[in-house]
Amino acid sequence: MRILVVEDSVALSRTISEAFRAKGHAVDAVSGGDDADAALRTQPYDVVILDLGLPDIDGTEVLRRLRARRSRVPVLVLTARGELQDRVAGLNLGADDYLAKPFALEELEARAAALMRRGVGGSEAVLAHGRLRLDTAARIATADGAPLELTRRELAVLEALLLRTGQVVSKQALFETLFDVDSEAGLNAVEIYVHRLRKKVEPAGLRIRTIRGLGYLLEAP
Amino acid sequence: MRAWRASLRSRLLAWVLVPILAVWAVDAVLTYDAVKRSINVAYDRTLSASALAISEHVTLGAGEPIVDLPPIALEMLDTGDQERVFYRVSYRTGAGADAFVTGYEDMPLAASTQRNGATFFEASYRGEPIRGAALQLDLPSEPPTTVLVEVAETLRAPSATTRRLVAEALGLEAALIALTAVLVWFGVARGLRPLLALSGEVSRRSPADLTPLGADVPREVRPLVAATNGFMQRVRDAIAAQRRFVADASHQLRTPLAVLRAEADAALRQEDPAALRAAVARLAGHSEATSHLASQLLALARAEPGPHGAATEPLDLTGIARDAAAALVPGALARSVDLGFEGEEPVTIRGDAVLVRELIGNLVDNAVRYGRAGGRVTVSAGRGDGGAPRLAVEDDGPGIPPPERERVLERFYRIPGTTGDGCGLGLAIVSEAARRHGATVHLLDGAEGHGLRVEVRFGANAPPSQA
Repeated sequence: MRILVVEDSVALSRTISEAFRAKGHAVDAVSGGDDADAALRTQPYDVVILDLGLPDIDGTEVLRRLRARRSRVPVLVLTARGELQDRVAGLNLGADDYLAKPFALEELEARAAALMRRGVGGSEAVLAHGRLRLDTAARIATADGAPLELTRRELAVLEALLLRTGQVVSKQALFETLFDVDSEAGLNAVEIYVHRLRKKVEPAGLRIRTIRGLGYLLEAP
Repeated sequence: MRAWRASLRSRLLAWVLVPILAVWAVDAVLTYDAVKRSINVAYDRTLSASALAISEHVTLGAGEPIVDLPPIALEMLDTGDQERVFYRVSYRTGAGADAFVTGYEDMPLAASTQRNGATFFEASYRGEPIRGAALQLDLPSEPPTTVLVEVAETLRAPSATTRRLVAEALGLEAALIALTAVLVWFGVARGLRPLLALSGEVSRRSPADLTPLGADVPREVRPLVAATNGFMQRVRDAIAAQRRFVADASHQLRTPLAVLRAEADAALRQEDPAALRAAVARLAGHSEATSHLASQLLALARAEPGPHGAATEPLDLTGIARDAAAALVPGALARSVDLGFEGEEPVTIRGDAVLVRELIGNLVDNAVRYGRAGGRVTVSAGRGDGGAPRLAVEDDGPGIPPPERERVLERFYRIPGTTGDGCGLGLAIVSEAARRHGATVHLLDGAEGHGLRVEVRFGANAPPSQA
């Protein structure tokens, strides 16, 4: 995978770049908005890690120009705490994920990996979790290579949980992926599908937690 | 209009002069009327005396009245004002037509006459207004002869006199009005002198001087001075809070930064890979604690009253609490804490979304950090007693003994014997953020008497105060 790191702090940029290189990715690092803009115009990237506070043109402007060119490359925005909600939350900037500074390197790696999995340019439309594989195009889930008997709706629930591994997925969000707006089904229907899915994927080592009053969480492998 | 609003002096002058001038105009009409009436009374007396004098010299001759006009009758009318005097004597026998006896034949007649006393009339004769008296007199004959004596005079003298008297009266009043205007003009300047002194006092001040303004001002200006003093008090508080924050921050950051530096130096000296690894691990742990401290200090700075001011947009407390709790679940699970949420109905508060999230985040972080390992933490949002919005975070840990409950809201206070890498700012941030929203923080026992329940009670409908 090819990653662009846009960060004006030399120390932070080097640490991030080295971490991704160690995982076998190709990393380009730039320290300014103009350079980032130029790189994004000419090179294809699988994910962009973008700091908002840049010395020349602002990170939000880089992002705006990128999306104005109809590029769908996944962007992970890095920003100072507080600034996150101030400047980003209300604005639909077109970033795919946000991470507040200071952050743990592991978290950055996990979020970037999730974005790369989701990336439209990626060749593989396969979500992996421990021993489980979900081919999102063929709609097939396998555990250790053996197919799992999952219905269409169970696959949809599994996909939604896999895309947000380690985070809470609300019951409402699952409901919206499962049913049409005019469906007669109630929120309780979600519980039934999660219950069935849980029984089928537990042997493959997937642990789906019920979070009181909030939804469900697929534990990281 | 704008200039009027801008100048107190012009406004006051307008308020005083416009009504006075209106009264003056009405007074001019009334005075003219009264003067004219009293002058007419004096002239009428002369006119009727003159008519009476003529009538006394009317006698009945051979079938018709004869007048032996006495000079005095007309001389008494001569005032030396170049007035012109007219008279006319006529008579009527029975129902016959008027017959002219002597005087000015074409003089206008009084519209009506009466038997007793004179009738006064006004008319125009030879291009001039005249006023006259008509006297009716019955002569004893058969059939009876009615004689009509009329005396009239041009109105040059009474008009001139009326004008003179009215002008004198109004002139005096005008002088009084002018004097009033001058007094108002200078009186306002004099009255405003304390204000000018006050503005001088304010403009001469150094920016650092935020002591209250003097109370030695007119009663009308006191509310302004009181409001200004109140405002300066708030500015002073904000500055004091900022200073305290900078002092706290520099003190609190210096120690962990010194630790980091010492640990980094020590790690550099390590030759043994295992010992080096352990040193770097310590370094990582301390750097995490330091960044947590920095984040908390910034959150506290944001929660404190300051020049930036808190945003007050309508927020759904339940929605924010639910999102905040969901975001904190992974952290809680890492400590094997079962973090849950209760609350369905949206509850609207006014406030700053970032601060409310900080508040919830700190409460949950505290509950997870200091609650029971493997315990339960529940965030709930809804309405409390009286329907006021209420947020609560409850754990089933050891709780906080009542004597400590006041103190834990203070910044950097940590309960003696507490372990963990907390910096003692969490509840201080909660307290400040709540205060910013006009909310109160209550530390209570958890359900079944153990654990801690922290409730944040928002004002029923009150917007958060800006203080």
